[in-house]
Amino acid sequence: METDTRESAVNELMSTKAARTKDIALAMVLIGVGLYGGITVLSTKATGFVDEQTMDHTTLPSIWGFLLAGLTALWLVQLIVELRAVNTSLSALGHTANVFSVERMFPELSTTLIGRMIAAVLSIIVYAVMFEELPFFVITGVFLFVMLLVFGRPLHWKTAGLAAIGCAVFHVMFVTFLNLPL
Amino acid sequence: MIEGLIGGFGYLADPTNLLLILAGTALGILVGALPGLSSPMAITVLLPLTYPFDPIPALVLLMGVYVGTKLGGSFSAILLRTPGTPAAACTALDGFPMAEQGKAAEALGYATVGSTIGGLISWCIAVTSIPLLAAVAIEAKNADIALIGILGLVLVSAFARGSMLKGLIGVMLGLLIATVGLDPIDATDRFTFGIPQMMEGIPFTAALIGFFGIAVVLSDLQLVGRKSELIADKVSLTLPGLKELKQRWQAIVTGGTYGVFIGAVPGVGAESATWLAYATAKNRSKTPENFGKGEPDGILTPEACNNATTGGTMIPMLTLGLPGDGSTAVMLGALVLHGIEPGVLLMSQSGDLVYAILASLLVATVFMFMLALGAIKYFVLVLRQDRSFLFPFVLVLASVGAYAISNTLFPVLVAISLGIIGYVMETRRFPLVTVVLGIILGPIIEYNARVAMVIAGNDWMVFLGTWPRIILVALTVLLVVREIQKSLQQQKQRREEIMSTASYD
Repeated sequence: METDTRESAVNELMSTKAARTKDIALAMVLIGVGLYGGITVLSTKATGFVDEQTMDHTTLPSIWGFLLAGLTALWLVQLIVELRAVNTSLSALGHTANVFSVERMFPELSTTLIGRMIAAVLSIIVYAVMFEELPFFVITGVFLFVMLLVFGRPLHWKTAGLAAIGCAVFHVMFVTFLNLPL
Repeated sequence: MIEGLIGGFGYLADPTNLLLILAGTALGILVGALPGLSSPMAITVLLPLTYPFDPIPALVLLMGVYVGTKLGGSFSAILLRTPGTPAAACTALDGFPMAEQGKAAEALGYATVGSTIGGLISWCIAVTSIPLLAAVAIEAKNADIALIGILGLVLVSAFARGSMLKGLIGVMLGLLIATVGLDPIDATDRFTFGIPQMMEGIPFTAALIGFFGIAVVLSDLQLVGRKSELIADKVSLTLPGLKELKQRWQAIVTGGTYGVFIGAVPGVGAESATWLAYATAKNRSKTPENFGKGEPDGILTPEACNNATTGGTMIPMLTLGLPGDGSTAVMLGALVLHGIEPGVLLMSQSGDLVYAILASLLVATVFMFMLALGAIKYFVLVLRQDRSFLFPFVLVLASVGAYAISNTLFPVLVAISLGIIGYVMETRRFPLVTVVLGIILGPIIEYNARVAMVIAGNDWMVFLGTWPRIILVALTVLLVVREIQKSLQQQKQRREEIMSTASYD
């Protein structure tokens, strides 16, 4: 019974540690973006003959950049304090397991899910590139069919039929009715 | 005001506009019913459909979607115990137990009637208050507009999901993204990296599609393959009688009032308003013990509140250019897309549009009632479907929407990049609405602040020059200080909780 409770406490702490570790990584990136924005904009020269202004083209972007970095730094401090508390608690429970495993860091991500995400992103790019190469009707039908397969629909005539109906509806809506230049 | 309103209804007499509201409302109910799909997402992916439209047909279509999603969320809350939208979570508390008792038709009836009356209450308040507030707001000068924008962003951060610190970080990121391109006063290029398309800035429609379209699909991909079982095999709708409604009027009015007034606070939206209204209705009830077990007031109150926020959120949006929630943030973007600058001058410059939006709010509420009454069995059909059918179609809308901005690949790449950033931020529980608002309000704040400084001869004191400005600055500072203090206290509490986990025994 006690072992179960201890196990559950350790699991909870490890989940928190994994979550805070990911937060810290994001915070570092945001601080970098803020500092980069705030510093680089200060070095941009005004184009043309612009009067001297107290609030010029650099003022607000640099304020936003430095505030982004500053506020994220405050969040980072909170995250580090929380992470230290987690580590102390884990030590008190006599646990030294490494948090840096894929299962622990990204429990929600499976190979299928990652594959679907990558396929979705790449397919959108290919779909948009093909707008200029192939007729909208054709490329949309292919895109829908591929996406339906990627998202788990079986390779079946019903899937192809759904894609065909879908692209016909989109064609009527965008090209015939709305006259978008696709 | 009456003349303006008659003019607004006049626009809706056009059959095309009426059909657009009807289609938008039907689509809104469908989207709202599907857990995982949100109103901002539906409005965002519909934006490309409105490109060739005039502003009025475009906005009335989006209003239909906005109103429809509010009711749709309750269908899945009642039939699946999974709210279609966060604001409908409260409805599940009594709606699902009532459905379990074999009264799903009655529960859906209470939700529909509550939503409709809540919507009507909020429409009456919005229609009377917006012209009055707009008359005051029109006096605002550039410095006031900039300060109102900043206060709005702080308010949104304070009330958005998660901590205010995360909200503020999101806002700053959005404001920084908004500075990409030529600056609004002397056309100096900033953060363009030598890419010509970046000169015009980040296309905000692409940003909306990225944050509310692609990011949401990426987040919800884990729902693919999951099918839901409804609590009732055959779904119908039974409306409560007039006599019963008379007995329960307090519950509806409580929900409606909370919805309008909390919805009118920028950034709060329906999510928190429904819980507050529910708690009040429960406390005031003679039978509080029935709440949570299928009490009709427990459905009427949150649903009246949920739909009443539609009128409430219109108040800051149409008078100050500040969104009440994520959906109205996208609608602000839609206004900009159609060449209309949201803000204090909206009523004076585009009064006909404002009244048409208000008229469409009423018409959409009536359509929502009629559609639910006549076609509920068709709407709930979508609840049985898994998302693999839906996401490919959403991705087509998102891709076409981004591509059609300039008929180039650039906005598609922007939408994908921001979609990935949005997905990462969403998984770390950042309120994406704050980033979007930063992007929308950033240029308005910068332009007005710089013009105010130029007019005042480069004197920073222009931002403290009048009592309203002092109040705006004081409110902003107080809110930030209070929320950061609260955040530090929560942090301390969280640390103590973690430490106590170690002493579990």
